[in-house]
Amino acid sequence: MAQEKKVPGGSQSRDGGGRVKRISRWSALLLAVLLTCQFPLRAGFGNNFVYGQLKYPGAWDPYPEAHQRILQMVRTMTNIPVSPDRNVVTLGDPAIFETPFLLIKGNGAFDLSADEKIRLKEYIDRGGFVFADDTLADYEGAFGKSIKRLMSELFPDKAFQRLPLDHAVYRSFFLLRSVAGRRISENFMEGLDVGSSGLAGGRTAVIYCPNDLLGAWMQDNLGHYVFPCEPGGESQRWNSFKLMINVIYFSLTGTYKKDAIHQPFIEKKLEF
Amino acid sequence: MRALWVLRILALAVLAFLLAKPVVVRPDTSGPSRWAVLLDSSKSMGVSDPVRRIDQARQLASLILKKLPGSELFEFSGDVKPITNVSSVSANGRQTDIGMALKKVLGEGRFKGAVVLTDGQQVGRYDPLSEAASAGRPLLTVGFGNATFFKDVAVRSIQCPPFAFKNVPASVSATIGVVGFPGKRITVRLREGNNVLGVQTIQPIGQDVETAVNFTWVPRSLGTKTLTVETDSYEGEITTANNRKDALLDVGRDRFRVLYICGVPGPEYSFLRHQFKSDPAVELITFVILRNAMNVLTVPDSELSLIPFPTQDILINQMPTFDLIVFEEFQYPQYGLLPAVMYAVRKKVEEGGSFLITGGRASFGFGSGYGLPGIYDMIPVQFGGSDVPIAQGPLAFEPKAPNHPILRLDQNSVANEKIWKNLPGIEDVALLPGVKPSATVLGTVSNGGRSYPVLTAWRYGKGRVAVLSTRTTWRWSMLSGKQYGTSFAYQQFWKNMVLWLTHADEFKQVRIGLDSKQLKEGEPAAVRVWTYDEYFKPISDVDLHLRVSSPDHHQQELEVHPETQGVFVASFKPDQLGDFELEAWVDRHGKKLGSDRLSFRAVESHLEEEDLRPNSLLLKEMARETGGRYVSADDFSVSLLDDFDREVSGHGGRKVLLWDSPYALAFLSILLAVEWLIRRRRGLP
Repeated sequence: MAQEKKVPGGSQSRDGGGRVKRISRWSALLLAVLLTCQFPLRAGFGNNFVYGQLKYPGAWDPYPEAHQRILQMVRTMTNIPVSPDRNVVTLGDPAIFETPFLLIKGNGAFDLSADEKIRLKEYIDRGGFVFADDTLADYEGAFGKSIKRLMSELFPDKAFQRLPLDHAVYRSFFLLRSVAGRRISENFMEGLDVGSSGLAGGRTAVIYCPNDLLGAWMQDNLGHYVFPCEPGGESQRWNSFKLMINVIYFSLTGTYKKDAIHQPFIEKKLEF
Repeated sequence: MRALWVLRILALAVLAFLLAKPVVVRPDTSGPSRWAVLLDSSKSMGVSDPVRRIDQARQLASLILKKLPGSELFEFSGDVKPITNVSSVSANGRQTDIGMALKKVLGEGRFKGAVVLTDGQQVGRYDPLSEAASAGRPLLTVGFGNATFFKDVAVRSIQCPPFAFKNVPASVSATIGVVGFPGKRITVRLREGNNVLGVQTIQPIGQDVETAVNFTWVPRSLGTKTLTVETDSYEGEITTANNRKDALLDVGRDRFRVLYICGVPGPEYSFLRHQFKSDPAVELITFVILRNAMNVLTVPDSELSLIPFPTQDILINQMPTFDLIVFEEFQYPQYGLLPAVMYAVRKKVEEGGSFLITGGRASFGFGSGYGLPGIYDMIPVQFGGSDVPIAQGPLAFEPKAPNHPILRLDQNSVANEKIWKNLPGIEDVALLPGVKPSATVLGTVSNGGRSYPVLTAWRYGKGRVAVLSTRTTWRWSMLSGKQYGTSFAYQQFWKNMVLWLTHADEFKQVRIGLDSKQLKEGEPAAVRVWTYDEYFKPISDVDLHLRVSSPDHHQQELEVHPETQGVFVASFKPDQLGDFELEAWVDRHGKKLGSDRLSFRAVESHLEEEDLRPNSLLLKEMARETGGRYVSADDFSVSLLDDFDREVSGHGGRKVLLWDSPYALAFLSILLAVEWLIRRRRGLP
């Protein structure tokens, strides 16, 4: 697991301090043994929501602080238990399977090795959810094309479809009537439904957003938003927040809000 | 001179005749010389078309007995017996087993042949053609019944599966035979009791037509159902007894109705919801709490998709309809629900429902809503005394009863254990202090040198309750290897969980089995009973009682014998028609292990009145097969009987070549001697 954590100080060695070095080695070993015996090391995240993000050669992380604001908002507004930090993983990292939610950010073409493609397909087949967000907010751009080409290779009998505005992702928590993002390049998101039976079947396992949804969350050190939201301004930004929460909720509840029990209530609210 | 030529020509003619090797048949007085007269006394002989078959048969039998002195009369239907008085024969036999009668009467070799008086509607186990051929004696078959006057509408057969599913359309088809009603509209109904399930009309265009009628039926309740296909009665019908036919089938649950309420969203809910939704056997009603009072929301309610908790609709109105209720980390008092809701769940379980509680602190921690008296009694584990510690893990799930249906991921026990060994560990396990007596611990985790139950189950009332003290089984999907297929272990585990909790038949500890739901009267059938322990190992060290209740409410204990490990068998022969019920109950070590019931119906081996049409073709074949003759009752005559008798007698005599006859030689010699004497007297050369 390649969990991104800042480690203050880091390890130090003392020149010429052989005894001290031995003691500290023994102490470290003893401490490790004690910790292992009494308190098994935590390898996963329990049943918490984990904000997983894919690291790959390329611009995978244009907004390194966005997740903090997103997770803070999730904690404030919802009862989803969240892991405090994001889980940055590569496709070669077994820890990718510890987090059923995976964000792929990008602004250009990217390609994966054959092994990485197999791993990504396994991830989706086992129940993982992928949210791909286009940093350039360019539907015709290289990132979007790369994602679609990749998925068509992984699931040749499936195709990305525009998600209608009554799709569960627009209703999973907030009731949304439009798409959102830093820049609305298209009035839709696209989704890939995989499988037809079994655990991986009949669900939207991949969502592609062409509008740079995370860009709307970016703030500088003084708390000012870095990018304007076009063309809708601050209301579009607020909708972007809501849509991101919805995407997270959708990864955890699937088509829950499409169940019959919700429909009368939702339809009534949408009338306003 | 002229006389000489006459004698010479006569002698030559005799010689030429003898050279042609003519034979003389001489009666064989050493073989049987008597006839057997077989009179069909089955119900079909009671038909009047237009003359009552049995009356006509009795008359002919009397005539035959007079004409063939020494003949012996037999009456046959399902069995055959000799009789002396023709008038005592009545048409009430439930079979027409012509083959059986031929085998028994002619098999002894006492008769030179048989006159068979029947309508030819064979209803029995023995094939008349092969039995006739084996007997090796000529048959005079006399056919009764006139197809020209025959009118009948009959339900010949019903085709339906032995098992149907509740709320799933099932196909039922029937073959309707219509004779003598060309062009008439015939109404066919499918019924269950007094409830008409479907009506169809057919219009046969020929004199003797069989038509298939198809119905679609949606079973609305569980249990054994009797379906009836029937037609109206029509004027002139030869009988109305065959206008209906029954079929028995079991209706089982097609889908398990599962209520799944989750108090805290997370991957476990995501995976389990999708698992239930993807399982065609599950009808899921689910509710997940998406926010609680501590969450801050600065948007109006109209912008949220949240709905109020549907207490009335789900937990009150629909409660009786659920087969399984799953509460995951659902601290119900927090949402304003009263303990009455849980008492309703308990009542549901007591009556045969099932309940699964999963989670951690919210479910089992201090102040848990499940620790209240009356509710706590239902839960098979101990909890709630102090704040329950949570082990983050990952910890290996250690199956304690790998043969238990919930844990049986592979039917092969070695493969099953291997799968469990290779599964990834679970996390966030609530370390429960213990389990209650009589609860079954199915799986544990080890932490700090101590073992803790993580999956526990027991029976409560007529229902079942299970506790799973973790919410990270989704890891078995995401982190398990590919060797058993994607997410296989996770899916199988949860399928098993639903099936076991909902008392699916395949997971009963005691189960009765029969080859068919309809047994034939008088024919023995094997009844099997399977027995398993609480871990679902087949066991034979049990005290098993098997009892059958007859339609007349008589009860009989059946003697059972062990067949293989965990399988017992008993033989049962229904001695009457109607509905029977088998009941097995099993004790082990002085405690009840389980019980099971199974109903079945005893039916006639062959129903005489299903088809009453005369079958002259069969009688003709039998006659041809034996070198005999067929004649219809209307065409029967005394002269025909004489001819046949002579013919058979002739066929049965000894053949003598005239060339070998001393009389022929003597006659020829006399002719030549006379010719010689005449020439001597007249002094001719």
